[in-house]
Amino acid sequence: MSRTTEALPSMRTDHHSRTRRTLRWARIAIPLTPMVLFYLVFLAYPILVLGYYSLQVGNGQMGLQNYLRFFQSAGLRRTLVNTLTVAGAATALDLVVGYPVAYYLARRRTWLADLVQGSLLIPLYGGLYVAFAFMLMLLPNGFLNSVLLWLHVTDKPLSLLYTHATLIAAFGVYGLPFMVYPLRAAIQGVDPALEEAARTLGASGWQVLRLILLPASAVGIVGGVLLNFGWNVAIFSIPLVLSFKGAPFLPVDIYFSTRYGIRWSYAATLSAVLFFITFGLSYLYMWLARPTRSFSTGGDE
Amino acid sequence: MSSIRRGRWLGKLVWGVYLGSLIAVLWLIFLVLFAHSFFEGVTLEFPPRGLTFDNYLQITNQFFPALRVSLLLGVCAGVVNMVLTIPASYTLARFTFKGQNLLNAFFLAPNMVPAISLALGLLALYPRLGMLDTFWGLTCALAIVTMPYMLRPVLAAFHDLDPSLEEAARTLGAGRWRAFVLVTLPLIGPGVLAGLLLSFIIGFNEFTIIIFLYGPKNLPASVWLWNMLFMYGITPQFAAAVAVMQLVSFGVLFVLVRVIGRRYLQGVVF
Repeated sequence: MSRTTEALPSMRTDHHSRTRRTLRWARIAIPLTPMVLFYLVFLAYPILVLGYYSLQVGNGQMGLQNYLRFFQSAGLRRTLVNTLTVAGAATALDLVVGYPVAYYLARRRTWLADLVQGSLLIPLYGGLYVAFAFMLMLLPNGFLNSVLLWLHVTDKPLSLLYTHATLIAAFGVYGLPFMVYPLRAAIQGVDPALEEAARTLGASGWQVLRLILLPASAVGIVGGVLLNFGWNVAIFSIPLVLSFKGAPFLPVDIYFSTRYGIRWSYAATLSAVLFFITFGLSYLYMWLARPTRSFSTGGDE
Repeated sequence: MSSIRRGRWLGKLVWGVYLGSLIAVLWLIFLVLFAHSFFEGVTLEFPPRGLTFDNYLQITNQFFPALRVSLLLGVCAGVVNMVLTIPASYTLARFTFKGQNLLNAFFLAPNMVPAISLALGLLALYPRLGMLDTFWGLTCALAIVTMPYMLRPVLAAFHDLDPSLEEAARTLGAGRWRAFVLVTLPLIGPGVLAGLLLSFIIGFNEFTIIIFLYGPKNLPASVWLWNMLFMYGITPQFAAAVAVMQLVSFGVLFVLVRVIGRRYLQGVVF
């Protein structure tokens, strides 16, 4: 029984525990109802409709044929492989770039740490802007090529824009916060005394990293990788602007299949595949983050 | 002794260069488009023929209606979130009951669902509800994707709050409702404000879901930008529109970080 219920004066004389239980139940259920209803209508129902469409195979029949067709079609397999490759490469990039950043944010309280933390919020709200900026930088007549031509580094503009490297870099920039935050929380969970002890005993910086930091933050690393990869797979705005013929992406494919007369079962199957990947990996992250409280909330309090 | 000092100095330099270049890359995203918005002409030219403020004046007629829609959407999504989240997180923070963890995870689930999948699902649902190309249809779609960004700071605020404060108010004769409005609500204020600002930023810039659900009657700024890029490519006028969007977002972000502080930014991204 919660404190609030017991403190209610009118309840003290009430000896019918059933009324009391009903009242407590109502007190919990009523404030939650609008939120739950909203989630059911605008989150659960759309996803279920999606699943339903993906199982429709025509003539009112249901089956898994759409999914079979998905994995049998060479074109869609190529799209899936390309999406997963770019997402995976960007995740690897973020892990390598983000780990030192996360370490610094976890251990230092300097103005530089605050600045980094603030700057990391820039890509958070706009995958679209990241894509625009890359485009403006790398177009044949863009900033970078103009500077290179002006400095006579090259004679003719380099075609940098529509390449896999650019896509990976753009995904990497956008996804960096989603890697740094879980990693920082994981590193905060490692006692700094362990590092200091190893240092005192003569370990080099590299040894401290390899023997203490990495093993102790391994769960957080796995979590960060899963989360980051799950998000990367579903990014839509960046590949919409920056992808090219040799680099098809699932989200872009979904979008264009709804433009000129919707092919529902096709689009729904692709969306469901994406959903399973992202939701599955995020769920795994939540599950990994659960047992150690310090990992999920960060050790700041 | 001096070698240790040199080592420490070197360490600082390495950290400074590394983090400095990271910050430079992140700020470049913003600065490149911002700089370009002052270039003269209608195509991309570098170095520019001259610098001008005209691009901002040229876009006002077409861009500002779209900007208005986006501003309103961001605010309304935040308000919907607030109204739904405050009672729900009060209950989640104060009571322990069966299925609480599950409910908590359910409320955070919009972050685990790809925006594009949700967008397609809503596209299937909205014609039946008559919500396609309506302002409230877009608002509800934005509210559901930004809800976790509201829920986390508000829940954190309720967890920080000492329940005995409200109980004291009740003991002194305040009714349940009165104690909530006069004692609890002001104390969770910073958390609610953080949630509102975060919801606004995300809703204001949201693109993936909106592009499936928008229509000519409600054209938000992010979609307007994409249409411009699709038709004319990158122009100084386009860059000016992007700069306006970014400046609004930056202003809100600045308020968020400076005024509200770090406590409620914990776990913005999980």
